[in-house]
This record gives sequence, structure tokens and C-alpha cells, in this order.
Amino acid sequence: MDKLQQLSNIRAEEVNISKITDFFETIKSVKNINIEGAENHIVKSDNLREDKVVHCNPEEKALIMENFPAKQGTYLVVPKVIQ
Amino acid sequence: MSQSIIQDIQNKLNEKKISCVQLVREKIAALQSSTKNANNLILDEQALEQAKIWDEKIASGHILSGIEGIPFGVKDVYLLKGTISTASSNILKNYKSPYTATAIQKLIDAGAIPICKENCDQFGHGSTNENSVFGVAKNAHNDDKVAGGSSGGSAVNVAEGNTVFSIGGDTGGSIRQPAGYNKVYGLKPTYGRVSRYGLMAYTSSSDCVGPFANTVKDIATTLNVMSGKDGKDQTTLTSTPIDVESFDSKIKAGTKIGVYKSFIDHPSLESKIKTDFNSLIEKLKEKGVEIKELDFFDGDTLTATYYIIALAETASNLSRIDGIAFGNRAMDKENLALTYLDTRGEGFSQETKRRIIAGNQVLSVGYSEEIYKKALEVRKGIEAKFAKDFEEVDFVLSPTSPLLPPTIGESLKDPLTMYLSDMYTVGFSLGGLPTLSAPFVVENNVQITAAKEKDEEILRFAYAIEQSL
Repeated sequence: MDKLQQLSNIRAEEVNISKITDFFETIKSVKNINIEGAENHIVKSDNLREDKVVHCNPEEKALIMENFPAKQGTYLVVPKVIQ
Repeated sequence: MSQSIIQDIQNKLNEKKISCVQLVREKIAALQSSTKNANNLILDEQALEQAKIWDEKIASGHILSGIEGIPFGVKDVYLLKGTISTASSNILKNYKSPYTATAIQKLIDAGAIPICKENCDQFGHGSTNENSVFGVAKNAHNDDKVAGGSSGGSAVNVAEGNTVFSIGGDTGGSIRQPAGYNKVYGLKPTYGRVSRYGLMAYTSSSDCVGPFANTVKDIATTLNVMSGKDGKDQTTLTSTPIDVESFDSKIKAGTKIGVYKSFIDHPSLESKIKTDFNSLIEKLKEKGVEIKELDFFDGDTLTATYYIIALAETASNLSRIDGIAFGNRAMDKENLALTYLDTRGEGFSQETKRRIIAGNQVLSVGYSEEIYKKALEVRKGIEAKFAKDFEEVDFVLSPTSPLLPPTIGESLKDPLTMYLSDMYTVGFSLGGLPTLSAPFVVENNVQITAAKEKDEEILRFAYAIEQSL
């Protein structure tokens, strides 16, 4: 299997990414970038929320449990990790 | 033309010309009989229950205001507690939201009634609404054409009048472009103005929550409700409510408008759109607006920069969707690795898989320095250019898309053309700038962009154009 599929955890034999990789050449060719005046608009580090555990209410908990893909009685079934 | 559909409906409800139950029944019937495939789920029972409550309040003398009693649509990438939220994907086809997105909760708390979860491209991956496990949403004005995307269903519902407003998501143009294809208003607010909490993440650094509506005032009213800081989204900003009642219907002479030459001269731009755009500019000049031509990055560079960053972020964001704690899991596989491979292989569409795999390539050794970090550097350059441009002009006007809505099926054969069709929208997303897509003169709408946090100025200017052209 293709290494990128393994890295992505996706089986996708039919997928072709060659059109997207054309963008790589475009970005490599960009020259003389002037970044003077740019500001980071994403996250300010002085804006962190309090680091404390917030428990969900019973209704939310029930919905989270309902979404679990496999159950046996009260146990949640996960794939085998250790062979 | 009505100044506010929301206000018109509330007047009828307050005067008891129609009941809220009747209103919601009419909207649900319209959604159910629509042939556009714009909805993944119709919330009839819950909506009618809410409508009944509003009728009781009206009967006891309450006068509706704000967005009380108004039915609205929600793109199916927002969590709405207790309802199925699929992101138009197989992997989440049975996923039930454990909580409600902040923006949607604010609308509900303000009295609006969610009536449907709307069709969209899977996880926002697309510009035509063809990448949906529920099938394509058709254009509101032509059944053979796409609705646009990724928030196609939301735009179609508003264009058909089946929702009074709808909430879409815009990462690289996903509100603005379908607004254009369906000839309604669609706003991408300043990045951070509206909380992203409860929106399924595509590209966290440019995902925005925004409304579709049929009037500028309705866009402003719904934006006011959703805006504000949220402790659950660290990127949110404090904002001042927009004073909708003080909007002036006259275009202010001396307003300075910038036009990017590289956009208008691009060979992909359809001649009809170019002619319309130039005609709008002439009309604005007659009203005393000053026009300034500006240089800008070319469309190909903007598209490449956006997609490289978007692919990297979506590969990271969607890595959590693996069928272990939620989502449809491929059962009885030999080991964990095969469970992941088949769960994600079967659960995601071809386009979504393409983006995740390409995103992992972008982030892999050898590419991250040369490609991803370079794209981040170009993004800074784009932000710097915007900062400079908005010292010279009040707004930048541009077409929303270089292309007319494609015929259904065309874009699936040629994804690159679909990506390049985003060239006029993605730059403003990279800059985090507010941009309104407005149905003024130009086929497929015109974009009005301003500096960060100038959402109100855009809506004031757009209202003046809406009322005077």
C-alpha cells in the first residue's frame, strides 16, 4: 500500500492527488514576499481559558455513549491493540 | 423591496395575521416538497413544539422582536444537541450531537427556531455541493446547475424562501460562492467574530460561521446574535453590536473603493461577470464613489496558498474521525491498523480522502519545510498587503467567482477547475477579513471586503447600495 495512505490511515487505491500537487510548484515559485505589517490573526497567547476539568451533564454523557460504535452489555468494545 | 424579511414576518405574527405554528408548517411543507435536495434532515416535531410556545407567548401579549419566532436552517456541519449531524458523510451518517454549537445555541436562546439540517459538501470539501453522501443540491434557479458549495443547501433554502435565514460555514468561500450562485446575501464575518465551537473543523485558521439571508438588515440582525467572545473558542473576539436601525440608505460620496487588477484581468473570468462588474463600478462612480486600481497576488498563487494550508489542517482535524469512539466503524478487522484503514476508507468520499492524503503529504518530511512553511510565509505576505491596501481604501470590491455555476457533473471530472474557481474568495479567508457576497448587478454576486473587524462598515455600505441602486 502507498505510504501516504498508511500515513493517513485511509485505504484509498482509487484516489489520485496529482492535480493537487500542481499547487506545490506554484508555491515554490513565489518570490519576494514582503511580510512587513502582517499580524497573526489566529490566537493570542494571553487569552487562555482556565485549565480545569468540566464534566458533561448526564444527558450529554448518554448521547456520547449512544454514539459509541460497539458495545457488549455495559462494556465499550474497541479494536484489539496488542496482538 | 423589503428592508427586513424577519421584521415583515414578525409584524404579521404580532398582528396575528398568521400564527407561528402556521408559519413553521408552511416552511416545513416547502422544505419537504422542494426538489432541490437542499436538506439532510427536517426537524418538524421540535420546530412545531417551539412554534407553539411562541404562539402562547403572543397570545399572552408578548411582542416579538429580534429573531424571536423566526424559522432558520443550519448547515449539517454544526452540532445541534440530540439531532443527527453528518457533515454529509458516511462515517458520521448516524452521529448524534451531544451538545449544540455556540452560534446555533445563541440563535435558539434568542428565540429563532431551527427547522432543518442542510446539505453541503462533505466536511466543507467542495465548491459545488456534489461531494455529499446525500447527493447534489441543485441550484435554486436552474435544476441542471450546481448549488455551489460547500454551503449549497443553505443558500438554496434562503433563495427559495424555505428558511428565513440559514447558517453556513465559510473556510475559503463556502458561504460567499453559493450565495452568488443562488443570488442571495452571504456573509463571512471577520475571523473570530463568531465562535467556531461545535462547528466540525475543516481549516481551523480560516473557518468562519456566517449567515445567508435575503436582505442586508437580516444579515446584520443574525450576525449580532451570534457574535461575541466564547470561552470555548480561544480565537473569538469581543465585538460591538451593529446598530441596524441607524443604517443610512444613501451612498456616502467620497467612499474609496479598491479593485484588484489581477482579478479583473484574469483570463478565467467569464465575460458576462466582467461586464456586470464594470457596470456596477460605473454606477457607484455616478454616486460619488472613488475607485482605485490596486495590485494584488495573482489568483493561482492565492489558490495554491489556500489549498496547501487547508489540506494540512484538514488532514490534522479529521484524524480524530476514526470510528473508535464515534462514527461508523468497519467491524471485525484483524487489528487496529486495518480497522482505521477500512473505517476511514469506507467512511470518507473520494474528494475528502484526496484532501486528507494530500494534506499528509504537505506535512511530511521534505514537504513541510519547502511547501507548508512557504505557504504560511506567503499567507503573511497576503495579510501584510491587505493591511497596506486598507490604509488607502475603505472597501475592496471583487467578483465572487470567475465562473458561472457549472452544470451538475462537470466539476467531478475536473477537480482542479473547481479549486481554481475559488480564486477570488480564498485570499480574504487567508487574511481573516470580513466579506459580504451581495446580489448587486453582478451575475454570481459581488464581494465587498473591508479591514478586520469592519463588518459593520461593510453592512452599512451594502445597505446603502441595496436601497439606492
